[in-house]
Amino acid sequence: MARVIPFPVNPPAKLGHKKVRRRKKPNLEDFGQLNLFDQMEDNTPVVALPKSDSFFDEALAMDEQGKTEAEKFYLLAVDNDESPEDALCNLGILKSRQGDMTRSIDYLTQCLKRNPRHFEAHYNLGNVYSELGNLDLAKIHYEISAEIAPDYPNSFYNLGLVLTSMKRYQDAILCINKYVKLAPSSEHQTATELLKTLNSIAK
Amino acid sequence: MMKDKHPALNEHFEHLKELLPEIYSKHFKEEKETKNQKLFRMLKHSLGVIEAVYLQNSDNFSLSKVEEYSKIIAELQSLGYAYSGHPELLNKAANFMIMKAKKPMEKAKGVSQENDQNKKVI
Repeated sequence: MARVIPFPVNPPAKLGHKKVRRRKKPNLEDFGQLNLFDQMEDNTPVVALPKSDSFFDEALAMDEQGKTEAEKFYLLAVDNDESPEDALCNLGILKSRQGDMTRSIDYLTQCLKRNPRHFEAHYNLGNVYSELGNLDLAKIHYEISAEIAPDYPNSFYNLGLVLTSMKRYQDAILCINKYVKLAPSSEHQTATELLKTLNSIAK
Repeated sequence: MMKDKHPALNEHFEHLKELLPEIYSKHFKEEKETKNQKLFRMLKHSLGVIEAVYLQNSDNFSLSKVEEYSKIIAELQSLGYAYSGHPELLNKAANFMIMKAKKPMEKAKGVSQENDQNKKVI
């Protein structure tokens, strides 16, 4: 007669999902392999790709936020021929803000070399020269910017101030009057006060 | 430091001050005036040094320094002292102060935004 021998079965303690445990990293050197990579530090620089379509847009966004990286992106925009005149113009503004007037003039004139009718570059050069006390050059650049963009009020305002400094009060009055015509009424207050003073001096 | 006066003497002087207030106040005023006069003289000398530096090398004289110079003279005049200052320097300072009120620089907005503006106009 045959004997029935029970098959040894070890039922699992619990059926169901099984969690994945963190595996211990094998030491490669235990397996006769040199472990080269664990000892090396990861010095790879994290390079953020531009969020905008172009380096110029990225630079402009950074510039608006007052970030110092804007300069680097403007230079990249120039190198990649993305609005290079505008990038050079804005680099000129950045340098002027840093007090580096020589570089500021250099960038602004480089902009004008590419586009001699770049109105912002002429206007900004007017500002740089007036800060340096060179009223003759400031006047010329404000006049050109007013010629290129006759609807832009600030060229007339700053030109009016230059003419006031030059004691050409009648011409200054004409310019400030043009500014008042073009500028929104919310910005008239200082101009009208200046006009009053100029009228009293000119008489 | 001087030692305090003898209390008896102090009392005596206080009594004198009460008896002759005009004399004591006049003496005090004179002393104060001379100090101010000394300060004014010192300031005039310092301003003279600034003017000499300017005359030696006007190109390297920054406009912010010119502004400070004009502020000192304006303050002196407001205190009642007469010091006309160097006319060329004062003129430069006046111009600098006028130009400080100028409108700020204008950023160029790039081709894409200019095109967007043109589209809107069309």
